Amino acid sequence: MVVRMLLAKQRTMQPSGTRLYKLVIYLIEFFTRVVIFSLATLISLSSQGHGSVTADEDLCVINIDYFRAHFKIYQLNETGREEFCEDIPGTGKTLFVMEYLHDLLGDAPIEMRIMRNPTSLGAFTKMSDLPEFGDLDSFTVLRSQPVVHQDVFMLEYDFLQTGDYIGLVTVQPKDTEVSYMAMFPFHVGSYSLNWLWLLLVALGLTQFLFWFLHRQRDIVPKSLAIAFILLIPCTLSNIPKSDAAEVVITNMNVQGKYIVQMEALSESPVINKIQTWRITVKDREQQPVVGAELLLNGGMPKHNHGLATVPEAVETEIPGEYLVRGLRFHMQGEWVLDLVIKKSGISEQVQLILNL
Amino acid sequence: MKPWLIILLVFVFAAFIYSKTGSVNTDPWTTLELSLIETLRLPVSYQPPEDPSNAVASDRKAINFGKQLFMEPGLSGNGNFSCAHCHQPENYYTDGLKLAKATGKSKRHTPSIIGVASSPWLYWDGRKDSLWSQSLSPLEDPAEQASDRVSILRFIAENPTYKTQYEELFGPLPDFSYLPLKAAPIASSPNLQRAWDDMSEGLQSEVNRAFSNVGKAIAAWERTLNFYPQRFDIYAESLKLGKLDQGKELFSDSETRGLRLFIGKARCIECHNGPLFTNNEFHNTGLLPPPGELPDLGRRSKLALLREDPFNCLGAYSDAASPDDCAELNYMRSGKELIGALRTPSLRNIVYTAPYMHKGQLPTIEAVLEHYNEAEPALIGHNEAEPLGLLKRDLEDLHAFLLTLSSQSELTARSTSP
Repeated sequence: MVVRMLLAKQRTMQPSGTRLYKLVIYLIEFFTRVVIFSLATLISLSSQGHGSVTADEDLCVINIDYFRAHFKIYQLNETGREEFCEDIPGTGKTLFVMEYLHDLLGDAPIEMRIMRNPTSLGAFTKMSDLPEFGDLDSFTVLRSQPVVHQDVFMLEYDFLQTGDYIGLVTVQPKDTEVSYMAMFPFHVGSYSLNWLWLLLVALGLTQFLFWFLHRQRDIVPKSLAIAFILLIPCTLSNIPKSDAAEVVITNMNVQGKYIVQMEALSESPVINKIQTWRITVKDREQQPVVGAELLLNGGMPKHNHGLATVPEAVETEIPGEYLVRGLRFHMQGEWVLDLVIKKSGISEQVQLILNL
Repeated sequence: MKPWLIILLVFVFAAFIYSKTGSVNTDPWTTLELSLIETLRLPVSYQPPEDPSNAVASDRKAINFGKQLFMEPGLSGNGNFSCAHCHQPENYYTDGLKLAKATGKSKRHTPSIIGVASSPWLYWDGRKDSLWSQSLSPLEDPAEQASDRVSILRFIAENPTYKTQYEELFGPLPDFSYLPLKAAPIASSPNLQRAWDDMSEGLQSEVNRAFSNVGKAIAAWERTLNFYPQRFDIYAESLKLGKLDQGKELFSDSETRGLRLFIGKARCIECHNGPLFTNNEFHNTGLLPPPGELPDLGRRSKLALLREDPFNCLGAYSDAASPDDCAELNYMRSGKELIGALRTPSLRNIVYTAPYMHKGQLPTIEAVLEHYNEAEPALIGHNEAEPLGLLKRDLEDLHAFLLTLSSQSELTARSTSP
């Protein structure tokens, strides 16, 4: 838009510009519009999902009944790290990844079946269409064994043919008879022809708008209005949606019931070495807090990681004194330690900040 | 405005931006920077921490015996591959290959073993918690030395020099008249597994004990493989002593800028910290798997194996006096951040240990620096690194600094006297 305004301004300054100059301006404006329109359409289309897979802002989620998992498809040999939500650009080795958002998926056998889509419904194929397929095995190109994948489900398949496919994921949660299923229709191979058509339509439309505008005198406000309309799909696709997995650390120490002091035993705090720390807990009246259970957790929020160890706290004979064993910091910088003090059924969280 | 004037202005602006963005300079070190540099300096007297699980860890006889075993191809199934086949002394105890190759092709890249005695965890995924326990695995791994524990003990018993050394250190070897020719609990080798299952628990335990002793001797020798101080350490020492002029002679401007980036903007020191330039922890840095392979599940997938390992610090064959001696194992973490996480290697000697990473995916230091500069999203898990936005010039400075952590003279010294 800035480019366009500048150009418009220049035009008023040089009302009697040469024919070549006008042509250049014309071409620049024209191609800018085409690019904006195509990008806007591309962005708004590519962030959609179908079947049990939905697009959440920049991540893709598969819903297997109430189980949810991040869903990603890669074609490492062809497109490297580029993630696909469902449709993949071409044939070749393809990696399906599901990262669980629900811990129970980690000990449930999961099976994935990839089959050719026998209907012409493409992306609009629904779970309710499945019974009409008859024998699924006759369309199936790959069926993985129902196996427990501890943290991440990964399956690789080498697609030899382009076309419409259907993925079926079956989960059999541990100790249950019920199994849950999710279906996602997808396409292998680019829609190059479709895109060509879209581009042609975009070109034609832009050409028409441009011709229409050039007949008018007040060109600047109109071109701004058109650009705005063309940008709508762009902004729509950027409306933030709720993220699936958000961890919120709450500080329950609102009342400030305890005064906590923490110090490293014997040596100054060093990195990469298991060490013991002394924690002294007192109440507001400076009286030692005896018989509490202490839980220590922590990490480096700036690095998005936790402690290198799982430390344990034990009470000593000295009233109000506790020893935390097995604490190891593996980086210099700001560590945030969350100390939960449990006493008589009431928990209170105290946050301690440590700079190493 | 005249076109040439616009062009001139654009050039001036670009030059200004470049000078600002490449703002890492060779100004005097700040107090904070000096203290960080000091944490990286290798003290001349550096020693790895004690290993309470290995009673002979510092025994001279064990060190000597361990060295012979390390170099002994007879310990392998076909008699061709010693530990030194992959951990080559003349190559800083690496092999220069992407993936290790012995009896078969290994799944991982051979790491250098210099300084590893300081790590609480061994292997890229940390599936072993001591050097002695680790050294037992390649001996039986079908892709590596492909032998079995009974054959290994028989080999030692049949060699008078080895037998004497073993018995001096650990007492008599098992009575082989009760033992099969070959046996080991390796599920992928049904014959070995069957022979093992046919042995009584007492005999199994006796063989395990003797087998663990072999590992303890090898580990005792490996513990002596420590880093030599390098040019960086001399530079750091001169800074410590306040001899800044001497420092300037030791480090070029580029190396100085590289060091400043290393401990600052480039954030390398967050994981490559301490005198060994490693925190020996596990991090997911979003590496791509080699063609045809699935992404590596890393540390998280090996935690169960580590806990159940009969040769871990808490196991029957450990010399730890009490469970308290096994603090790392007792307090180890297991969170989801360990999905795809692999161990931070040391940066000392890296000039001579290419290719890099757990699968040898990255061929050069430049490629590694580029990998961290871009820090793209991980295929599985979460990439802990974040894009750094460093310029080409910054990466060259970092590279220059990394070269100060190794030297040709050390390489020569190691190859002549391992």
